[in-house]
Amino acid sequence: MPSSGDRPPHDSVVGALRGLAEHERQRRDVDLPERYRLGEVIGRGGMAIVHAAHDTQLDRGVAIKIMRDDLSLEGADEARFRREVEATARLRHANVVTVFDAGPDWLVMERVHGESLQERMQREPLAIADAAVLIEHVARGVQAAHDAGIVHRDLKPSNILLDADGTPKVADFGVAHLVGDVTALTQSGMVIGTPRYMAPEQIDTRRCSIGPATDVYALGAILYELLTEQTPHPGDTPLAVFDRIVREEPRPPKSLNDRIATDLQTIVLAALEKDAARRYDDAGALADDLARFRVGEAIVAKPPTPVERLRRTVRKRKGVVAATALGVVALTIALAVLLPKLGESRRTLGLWREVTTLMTQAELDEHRGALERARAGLDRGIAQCRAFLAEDDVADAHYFLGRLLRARGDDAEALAALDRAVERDATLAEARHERGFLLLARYERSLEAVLDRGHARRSAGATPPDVLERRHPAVRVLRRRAIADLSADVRDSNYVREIERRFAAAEVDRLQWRWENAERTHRAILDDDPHYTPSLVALAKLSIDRHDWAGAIGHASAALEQNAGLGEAYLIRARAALESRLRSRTGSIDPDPIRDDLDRAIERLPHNALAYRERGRLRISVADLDGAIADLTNAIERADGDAIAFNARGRAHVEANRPVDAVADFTEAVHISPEFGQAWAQRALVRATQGDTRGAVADARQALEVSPPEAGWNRQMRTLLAMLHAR
Amino acid sequence: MFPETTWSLITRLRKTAEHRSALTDLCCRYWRPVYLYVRSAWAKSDADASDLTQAFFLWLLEGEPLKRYAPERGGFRPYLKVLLRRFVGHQEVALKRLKRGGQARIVPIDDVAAVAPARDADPEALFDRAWVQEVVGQAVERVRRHFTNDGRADAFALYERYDLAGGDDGMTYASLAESTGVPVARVKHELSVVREAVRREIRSDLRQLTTDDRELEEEWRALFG
Repeated sequence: MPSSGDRPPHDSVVGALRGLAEHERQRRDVDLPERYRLGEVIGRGGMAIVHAAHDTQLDRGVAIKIMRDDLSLEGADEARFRREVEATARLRHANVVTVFDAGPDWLVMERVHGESLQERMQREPLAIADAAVLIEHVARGVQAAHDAGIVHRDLKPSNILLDADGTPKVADFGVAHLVGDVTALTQSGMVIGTPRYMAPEQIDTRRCSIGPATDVYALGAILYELLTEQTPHPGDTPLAVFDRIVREEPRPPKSLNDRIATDLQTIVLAALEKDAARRYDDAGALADDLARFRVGEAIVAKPPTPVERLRRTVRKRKGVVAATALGVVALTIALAVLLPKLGESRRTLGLWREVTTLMTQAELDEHRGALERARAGLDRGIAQCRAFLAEDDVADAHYFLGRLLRARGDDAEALAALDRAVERDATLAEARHERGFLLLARYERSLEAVLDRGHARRSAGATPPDVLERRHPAVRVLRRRAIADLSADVRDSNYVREIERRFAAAEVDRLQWRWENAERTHRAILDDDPHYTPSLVALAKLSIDRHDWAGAIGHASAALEQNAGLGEAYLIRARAALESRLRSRTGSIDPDPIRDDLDRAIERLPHNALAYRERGRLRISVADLDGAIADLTNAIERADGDAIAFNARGRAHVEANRPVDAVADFTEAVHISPEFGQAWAQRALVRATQGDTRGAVADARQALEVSPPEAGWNRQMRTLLAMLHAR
Repeated sequence: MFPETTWSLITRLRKTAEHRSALTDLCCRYWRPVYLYVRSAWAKSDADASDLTQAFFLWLLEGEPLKRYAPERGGFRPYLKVLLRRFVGHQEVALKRLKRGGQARIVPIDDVAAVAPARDADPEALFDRAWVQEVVGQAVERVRRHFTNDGRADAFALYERYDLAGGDDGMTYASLAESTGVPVARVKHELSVVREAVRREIRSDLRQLTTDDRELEEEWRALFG
């Protein structure tokens, strides 16, 4: 025992940490029986933390998985979880990780001393024969579950653990997919993560239902990767992978690794058949064929005949409307969640299915740059909602309409639809929640219209938002309304996903200037789902708020990598680049990429005044005055009172030698924003050149009064005043 | 808001006496981790490693690296590791400047030699482990003093036997209760009280060493693996 004052030896630190882990668990109220003593953390996943632990009753080492506190299951889900766990706990197979005991949010399992197949694969590739034998064993373990009526549904290399002697053991039966159902959806229905090992029927439910063949597909996909070092359907984003799983045949493994035997290739491709009925019936059948291959017997699977190959080529050309299939992802899971709750309003549910499908499809179209098709799809949904409403004026349909209109970029109409939804059913929290996003966008636009970033550039820091709000009470009202709506309680919603709820909470933090909280939550969302673009966009906005232009460009680019159709991300990236360009004073950054981004933003957000305004400002800086005036006019028409757009157009008029128009615009600018020193200063200069000495003097004085001492035009104004007085 | 962290103090007060003392404080906390890193990365003797550690902190103190630290891009500890990696190229220069001298020692060197790392140890892992030991060890020590001074040494003794003694996987609350004659309920309660005190100490310490809540939570999680 260390005496007082000594540094405790290392193992006491380990003991202290173990005690702290136990303490954390107690603080969180996880009801783990006392017989288990928690040890170090040995694994950490999206849904749970795995501790090494000791079962004091049986005196043996175990592994205990503790669910993350926000994922604890309740009600029907918990009952289902328990049923599955009980069934799994009865499984005894050398290739299955044994489950000993479980509670509502913990699971006691056999401790496997080794690495996961994923880690093993990353270390070095397996020999072909070893890979085939490994999957044969894994398939035997999975078959034991199939015999007990359990389908794994989420087989992947990280779920296959290798014991010290290399024996594979399948983990996470009946657990992963269940939690997956709860959290799998993002804003418009995308499944999280990259679904590399997911079978087509898990994506497109019209094909057939999920069963043992679903696990066969995953085993085939893992074997394919072991043999070729790439997944059967590679792609950078979930969208791309989905698309390929549903539509494309995998490349024959031999074309990637010519040492693979033809029979082994046939086995892999048979497991990866798109049509589940054409795959092995269950994991045991796959294992049997792998065993036949191992001992050199004739295998059961047959390669596709030439006719079959031709049929597939045709199907590939026709495309099987991948986008629709994608939409069905939303349905699969939405249905599972919705059906029990919405039994009485089947018609509304039917409409919602259409709407989610169309929105997902539109997102994919936008990503691919097919903007017209995306719009046409959304318009179809809008027409459907309107037809529905003509017959049945229910709040839910107004809400769906509002979502479609927002996706279409038509914020004014969307707001009206959501107002109607709230009017008809004040308890429809989803409508308020959705309206909150619109109010947030409107608030941001209003703030933009009064926030003089040019001013902020030249002064020590930005004008704090609260100061701006004091000057512009309407902006404050918008912010408060947005906060109120976004705080609507949608926890039990049929339409709003958990991730959207967390997103809204983070946005409320951002609206309340709790930037660190907002950033933390957005980052946590991205930890769970790196593809959730709304959070990437929000992080980009946070960077803009903090004048971290490089950060904004980085986040916006990351969002665009996920979905190249995000008009807002183009706009943010362009603005950040423009700000850093203006700030650098040398202005040496190439304007073309900024221009490209703004063009894309305008193409995608034709209603967005800010995009026009920024392009107008950019055009002034490259002396394209007519273009600038056209853009700024568009901006002015689309916004209600944008002082900066007026000020910018005034400047363009000055450059184009149209002083009267310039004075009119500066007048509008200072009328909207009386503290707009730069607009006062510019009007003073124009008036002076026009011989309006009195007006110029008044404007120059006003400019000096409202501007901060470090404003760039102050000296100019003092010189002007001196000259005019001399005159 | 929150009390000022050591880090925010440093960024606020560059080149003042207060800055120097805050920085010295920070160096003290990271001295052992850095020493172990240096010693294992370059297989130096104790004396050389101590000198290099000293040189590293001088380089840190006087040079640009601290000014370039941008908290929003990541925690301080990962940044320190980046600097250590970069220090490899600068070590000889730094050492020369150290020898040319005049510089007072930043931190007293005590018993560092006692913890010579294994030759093949991963320096970054050593660094992290030393950091955990530093943070947890000191927190436990403070709690020990605190409980002893408050006349609650018995509660700490239970904690010591159950948590700190480590090793004995078979021990349960019941067996501890039996061997000490303290009722089980009391054992549980006292353990929870001491653990909570340790938790608070560690977190307040981490708060000093981090710039925001996010980094604090990251560092807190990092302790557990």
